[in-house]
Amino acid sequence: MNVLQTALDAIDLGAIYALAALGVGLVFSVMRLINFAHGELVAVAGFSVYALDGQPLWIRVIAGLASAVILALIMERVAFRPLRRAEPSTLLITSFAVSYLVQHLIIVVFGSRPLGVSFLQELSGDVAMGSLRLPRLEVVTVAATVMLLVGLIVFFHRTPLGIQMRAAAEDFTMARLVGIKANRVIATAFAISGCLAAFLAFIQVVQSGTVSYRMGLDLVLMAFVSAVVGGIGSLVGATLGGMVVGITSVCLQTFLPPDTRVYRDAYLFGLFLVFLIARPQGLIFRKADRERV
Amino acid sequence: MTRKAPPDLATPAILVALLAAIATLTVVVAPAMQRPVTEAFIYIVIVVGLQIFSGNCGVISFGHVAFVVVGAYVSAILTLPTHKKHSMLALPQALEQLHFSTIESLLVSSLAAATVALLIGFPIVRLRGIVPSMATFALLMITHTIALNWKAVTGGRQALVGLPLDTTIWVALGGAVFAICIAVWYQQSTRGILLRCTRESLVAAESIGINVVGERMVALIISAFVCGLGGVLFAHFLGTLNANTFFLDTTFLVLSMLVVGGYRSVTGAVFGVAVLSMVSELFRYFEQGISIGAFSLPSLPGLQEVALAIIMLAILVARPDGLLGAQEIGRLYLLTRRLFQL
Amino acid sequence: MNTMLEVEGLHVAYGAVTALRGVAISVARGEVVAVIGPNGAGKSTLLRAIVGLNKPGEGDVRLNSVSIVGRSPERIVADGICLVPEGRHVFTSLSVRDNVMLGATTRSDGKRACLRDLEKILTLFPILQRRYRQRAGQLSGGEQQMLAIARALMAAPKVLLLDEPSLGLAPLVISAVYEVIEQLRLTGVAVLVVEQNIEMALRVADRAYVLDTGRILASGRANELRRMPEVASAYFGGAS
Repeated sequence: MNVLQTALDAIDLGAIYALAALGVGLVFSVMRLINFAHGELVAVAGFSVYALDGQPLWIRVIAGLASAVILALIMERVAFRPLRRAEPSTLLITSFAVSYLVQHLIIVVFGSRPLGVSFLQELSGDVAMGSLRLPRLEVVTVAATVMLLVGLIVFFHRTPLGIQMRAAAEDFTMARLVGIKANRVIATAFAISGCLAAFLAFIQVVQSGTVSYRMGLDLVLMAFVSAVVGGIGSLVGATLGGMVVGITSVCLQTFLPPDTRVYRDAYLFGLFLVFLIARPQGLIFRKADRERV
Repeated sequence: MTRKAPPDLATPAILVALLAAIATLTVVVAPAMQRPVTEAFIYIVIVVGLQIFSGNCGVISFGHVAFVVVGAYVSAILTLPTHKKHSMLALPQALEQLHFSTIESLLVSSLAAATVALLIGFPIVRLRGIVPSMATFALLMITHTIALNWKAVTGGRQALVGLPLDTTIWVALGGAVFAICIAVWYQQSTRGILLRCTRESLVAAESIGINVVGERMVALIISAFVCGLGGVLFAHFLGTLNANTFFLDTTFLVLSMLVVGGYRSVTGAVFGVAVLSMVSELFRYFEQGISIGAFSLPSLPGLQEVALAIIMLAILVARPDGLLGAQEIGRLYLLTRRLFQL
Repeated sequence: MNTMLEVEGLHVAYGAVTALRGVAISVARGEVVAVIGPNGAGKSTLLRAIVGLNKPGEGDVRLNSVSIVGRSPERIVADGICLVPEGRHVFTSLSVRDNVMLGATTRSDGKRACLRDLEKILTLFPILQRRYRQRAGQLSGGEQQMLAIARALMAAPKVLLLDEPSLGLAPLVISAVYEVIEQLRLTGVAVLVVEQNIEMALRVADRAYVLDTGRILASGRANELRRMPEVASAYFGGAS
């Protein structure tokens, strides 16, 4: 059942990119910062799981989540808070520097070669659904992503902190004038992005069976592309953008003639540039985001 | 009648004089340092090239290394001896027979890089806000993927070897001088001034009729030319070339050099290269493991990059505008002169 | 006199440009005070300085005799000064309800007290009652202005600062807004209104100050000011 398999692959990749884009988009919406180091949150969570190989599952999961969240909060406090009023370009370079730093710290501690790790082996292999055999991991990924998204929607629409974050994302100064604590909102955004990163790390570890200092890199690049495609500044856009990019990637992989398939990424980024000619503001563009004269 | 401020000739003069002095000093007094100094001069070409674009239009570009790659590979194809091309690549007959000298290929390869900018720059320069920087990443990734996989033209994952080692310290110095002069000339030209207006406020600039896309394209093409030139110089300095030679590490290094010195000025770019080259050299020395008396530092790969990143961050947090901000050395010199004439 | 808000000798500069020079005003409980002046006079700067968005170079701002200069905006809001900024700035992607309830962010007196105040506020703004569940972005300009004021009132502020509440609104709507401002007096809130629309401002205010190019030119009871030549020249550039 090749078509269904491909469809599931597409949705699975779309879900992964959507979560990655959400993590990046969340921080951007409250701070106008594109966090390059988001990929390193993934890597750190992955290496925590690796380092605790042999321990019970729940310890490894908690360690992964905790390490990503803690690193995210440290980043915010040490590197980004002092620069909160700086130009977006400066923030961008700073996050690039943080990303570079953490990557090479990992190299110093763990070396640069990928390390094998066994984690949640129960999720590998296929699951039978009627006459179909589908990869268990992909089914779980899609299901878990849906649950996470629902959870985030509930958080943002029904809890006071979530509503405060949406207010801050829309109009940061006005949010302060209503008494919303700037630091708390930003720290929460980073913490949530850390959780999302950890989740992505778990998926990647199960999928590839390895961890490496580079494991977050490609993902975060796709997260940026997805966030831009969806419309930077919109969380719904980030999710949508992730789906679009993921599905496109799998379609390219499937439909490109076999000898050009190695150029898949070049095509993907090329399509990205073409997309930007047609719709530079992204798919979901709020009029409020346009620069007001 | 329009009157512009008097041209700042002091900046290029001072910078060129300093660099020439360093080159002379190195050759005469410390010939062992020729390689690091040559490399630094080449980085000056690349970073100044980047500054022409990012400094004047305010868009941080992660993709300029793509132009370095194009310059390097085109030059490789043009200057490698025919038999080497035949064994390593699978080029059409005409290209295989082609044999330029390095000097001849400088112009052609740089033009090739500029052409790439012309062809692919349009989506990037149309964007606003922080998004164009993301688009430049696409440029880098496309170039990298092609270089990595187009075995016939670039050798794919295999390194191209045997490039003529024609980049001496004087050739590199010449490149750096050229880059600085072009950068300062553009910066002070009417077009450069118009572009900097857009850096401050896109909307205001457009409302007085500045063609933002056009001006950005001009800057992009010029900066691509210079970066391509840097690529040529680098290729003929290293002698070998593969798709991973110029990728993320180079991008980070180049951006660090630009930002540390101050991306709004040419002086800042040069200064950043100088500072980080020295730091880099120092750490390369330490990374091999040294012992100071009873205290010995083990060799740890990756430590150099960690230190570089920490220094970058420290400088950014302390001085977000870079160490030199937007000041060109020429103005400081004139101010100092005026001060002492009182 | 029950002076709630006092500003003394305030100097605010944006880089090389001085926006406010030695400004001094006071507002008492239950008083409506207007600050009028032409565009660029520094009126918005004054309000932003009071609420902590601009740091003054010199001078003091006192709330109930306690100096609040240098505090963060969040803290000042929690202390009891609320700003309804120029242009309303409602959170367009949130519902009317969420907007109003956000006003209560700094309150510490429990849900029941908040809900009681909510009821009172909704009686003051029946139109918001009708649109309670709608997205704030769908409201008209006048309705958004009401919402912004309601949101500020939810914080049970001691001082309410209004920056050009009539800006961009149709005359009938302006009257409605100012009726609300009149009623605020009864709640005991000290109200400081900054306006270019002299007519409405002086009609509803007890006292007023005239601000021009960063300086207070005149002050006094509202009806006296209407007749003063400084007021006319500040607007129409007559010989002073």
